[in-house]
Amino acid sequence: MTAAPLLEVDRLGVRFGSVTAVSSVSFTVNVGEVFGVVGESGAGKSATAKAIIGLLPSTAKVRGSVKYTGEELVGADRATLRRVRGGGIGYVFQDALTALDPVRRVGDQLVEAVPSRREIGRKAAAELAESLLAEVQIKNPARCMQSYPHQLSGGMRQRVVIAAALIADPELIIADEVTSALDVTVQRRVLELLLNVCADRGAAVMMITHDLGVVAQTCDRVAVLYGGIVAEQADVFDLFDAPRHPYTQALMASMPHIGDDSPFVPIPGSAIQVVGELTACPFAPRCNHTTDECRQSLPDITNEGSRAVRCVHPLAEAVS
Amino acid sequence: MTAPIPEAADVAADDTTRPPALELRHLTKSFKVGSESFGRASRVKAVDDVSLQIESGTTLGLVGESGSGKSTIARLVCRLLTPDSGQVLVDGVDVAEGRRRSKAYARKVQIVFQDPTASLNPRWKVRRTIAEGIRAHKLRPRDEIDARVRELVDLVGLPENSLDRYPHEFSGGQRQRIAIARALAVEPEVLVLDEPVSALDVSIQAQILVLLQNLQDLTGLTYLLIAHDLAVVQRFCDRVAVMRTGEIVESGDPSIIHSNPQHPYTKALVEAHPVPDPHRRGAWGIKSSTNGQGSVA
Amino acid sequence: MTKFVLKRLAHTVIVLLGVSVMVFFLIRYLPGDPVDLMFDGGDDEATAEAIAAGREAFAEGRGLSGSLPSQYFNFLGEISRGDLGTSLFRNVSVTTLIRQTLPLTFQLAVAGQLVNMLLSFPLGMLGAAKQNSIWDRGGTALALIGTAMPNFWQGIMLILVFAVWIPIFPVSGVMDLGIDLREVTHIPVVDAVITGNWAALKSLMMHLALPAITLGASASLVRILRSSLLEVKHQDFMDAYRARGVRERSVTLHMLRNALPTTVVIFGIRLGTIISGSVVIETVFAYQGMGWLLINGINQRDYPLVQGIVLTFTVFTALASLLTDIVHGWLDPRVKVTSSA
Repeated sequence: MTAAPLLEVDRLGVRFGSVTAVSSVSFTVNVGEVFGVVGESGAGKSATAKAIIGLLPSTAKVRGSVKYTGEELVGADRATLRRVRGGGIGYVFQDALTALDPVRRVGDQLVEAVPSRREIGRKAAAELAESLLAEVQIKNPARCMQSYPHQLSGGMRQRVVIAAALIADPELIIADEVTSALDVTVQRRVLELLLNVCADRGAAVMMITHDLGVVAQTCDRVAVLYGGIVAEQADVFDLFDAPRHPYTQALMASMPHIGDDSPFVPIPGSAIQVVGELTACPFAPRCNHTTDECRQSLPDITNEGSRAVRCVHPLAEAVS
Repeated sequence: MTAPIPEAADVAADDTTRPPALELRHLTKSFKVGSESFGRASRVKAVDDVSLQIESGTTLGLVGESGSGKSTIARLVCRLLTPDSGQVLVDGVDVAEGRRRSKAYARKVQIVFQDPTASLNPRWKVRRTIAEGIRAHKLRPRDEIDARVRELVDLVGLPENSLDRYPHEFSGGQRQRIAIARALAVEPEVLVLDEPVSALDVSIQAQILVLLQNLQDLTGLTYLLIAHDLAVVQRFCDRVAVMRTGEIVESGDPSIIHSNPQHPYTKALVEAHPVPDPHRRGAWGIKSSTNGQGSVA
Repeated sequence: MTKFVLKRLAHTVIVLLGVSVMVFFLIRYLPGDPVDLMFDGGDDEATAEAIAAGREAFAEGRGLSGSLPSQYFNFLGEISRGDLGTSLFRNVSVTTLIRQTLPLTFQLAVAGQLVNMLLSFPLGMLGAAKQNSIWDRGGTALALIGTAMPNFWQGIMLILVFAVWIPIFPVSGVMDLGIDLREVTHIPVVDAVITGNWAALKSLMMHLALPAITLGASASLVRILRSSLLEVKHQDFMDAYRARGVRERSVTLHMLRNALPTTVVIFGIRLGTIISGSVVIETVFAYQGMGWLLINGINQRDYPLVQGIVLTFTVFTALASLLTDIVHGWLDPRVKVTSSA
């Protein structure tokens, strides 16, 4: 350990009734790094992210621990949550159109979230909001402040949502599938902007995505989620160079690469919704390394230096 | 299996005499934008003088970003929209000619949509969904329809007990298989694939793409693939056309994507494509973060 | 905006023309004739000739002679000059009668809607906040019962219980006799407040209570409010507010603000029903408003009176819907009021 981690997620679990969205997820995000959380639909990415800042509906049952700079957030009272949300952690939503209130001006929405607006006054808060809009490269921030969300283009809206997440000068930005609805050229610009702004501020980013390409291009470290557990966690180069979990390897093999003519290698079957307690490796039904052991219990996490693998039969390091 | 669709083997033999399976000639379509009451209504060309040909049994990939007009082309080819001008020819025959067009044409060209949840009737069992086209076009005697439906279900890799289930009982990938079986049921010559895998999980996308490849090998179907994922298009298609604001800016074999893009727009698309390899980060202008050297988990 | 309003007013004129045709011809199609009613006194002493002469003079004077189309065009000509004609049986101009009764109907409608809102807002908000709770189910059930039970029956039950068995409220009427109220705005409740006539105000309120409760007890807004709140509740921007550390109280206010446009629109659409609902209720409570007058007019085949009241209702419904659209555009910036309606 170099320094105390910014965010520590420890055996986090989320259940909706009998359906288990997250079984047991553990990872840490360090100060200033870009941490990727990658997985397919149903892997538990979004539930994990929402659990971190306490935005799950009241029907969700959360267990385990989420510590932000050492402070426990699971089961924290409203005041604590509000302080962390309005100061430590910013959240960028997937769909910029629905993440902004359609009947209020952009400026009003931003100013309302300035934590110190009572002390510094409305005018200073508005100036702060305007400077943030300039920081996310909106050309006419004053006009943008006066606009309603529907009057802005898709790219502008996405920038406003990023600015809104930055308003309390957070140390961690959770970016929840930020670009999955955007065209590739827009995606690239938005990601470049988000990551550069965060790098300038020294803020860490938790990049939630289903796109291994985005992970490879942007992240320092990665957690691969499957069936509500972290299948594998590693430095991004280690992960792509030599995936140790069969799921990571199969996921990479199923993705066509530009300039690569090898045939598609699909993963057979489809992900299964976890009901009740997870008592086996969730990938076992689709894995071609499966043995009885995989089906009998949930494998333990094996730590090897900076990487962690949750598999009974991890792939040899040489395999790529 | 009874061969349902034109035989692939014969295609190569008379390649010289045979017209392209699908040909677009100077196709143009515009839409009205703005409100009429202010006299400001203007027309935007969604498709502007597009010509292309697809040889029988091959796949053409049409790539572009939203608003490029690629989905409008899909709808024009399927006659879900009428072009302002230009022609759509199937096997050398202009489909807009004569009154016979609708039904016979609907059989020759089929479409698979992006979202199988929306494109399948939720109140119909799989059996009825697939059988409908066979009945409508009277492709089989009544007593053979059921056997044909079973055959199709098997062909797209669904278990036989799927027949008496409803779409909501299936996963996204399986629903897309149902949609493909429905399209194949009427024995088309051309299949328009409008973003057929982009709503699916990565691990499922490859399943559907492999299925489509196998079906083409088996039956000699002609594909028009509309997609935004360059990696998929370059791997799946025989030829590629890049569209931007209603026009084709560049077309050729898939190498225009991976090694030899000519048009600046194609280059921009290729550069923006997130390559799943952290060693190839050069193109993206992201500053390295200050403190992010892989620390102990 | 001005263009939009003018356009809508032009639409209203066309609607009024259509309504005038319908009401004019349909009421004349009803069996029974005002002239017959007038002269069917069974007066033995009057000679047949005298009756015939009287009939002719009466018909002539009331614009009831000549062919139907020519009568209609006369009528159109008169209303274009703002003259709605004279009541056949009251010998007063229809305009005067409407001016006397409209304020009463207006104050009843407003009171009814106040009751509706007082019930609907808390129940709708509770229902949305605690979906499927007892409060939610209770509110929805109340709204369902209120909608399913016929208004007149509710009214009769209320009279029976709270005016007859437990005589808290008066059975019928607008105000106790013998109270002198100076007219300022012609809306009695407002006048009573302006002139500080508390005795009159108390009497007016007591008379308003039961009909207003009957009108508003259906809590017809509960379900609209509940469903539009629920729709907003699950939008991302609600969580986005929370994620930025905005207080839960402010978040709730933003939710209400977002649910308002839909609620207002549906309320506006229902205004027509509310007005026609007052016709029944005024009759049940013998509340001498415009609806009560209309029923009387129909029974007596008082053509000019019925025509005048129906046209007034039409104008008010059209104005209400115009107002709804303007308010909607004002509440929801995504809606352009200037677009073609």
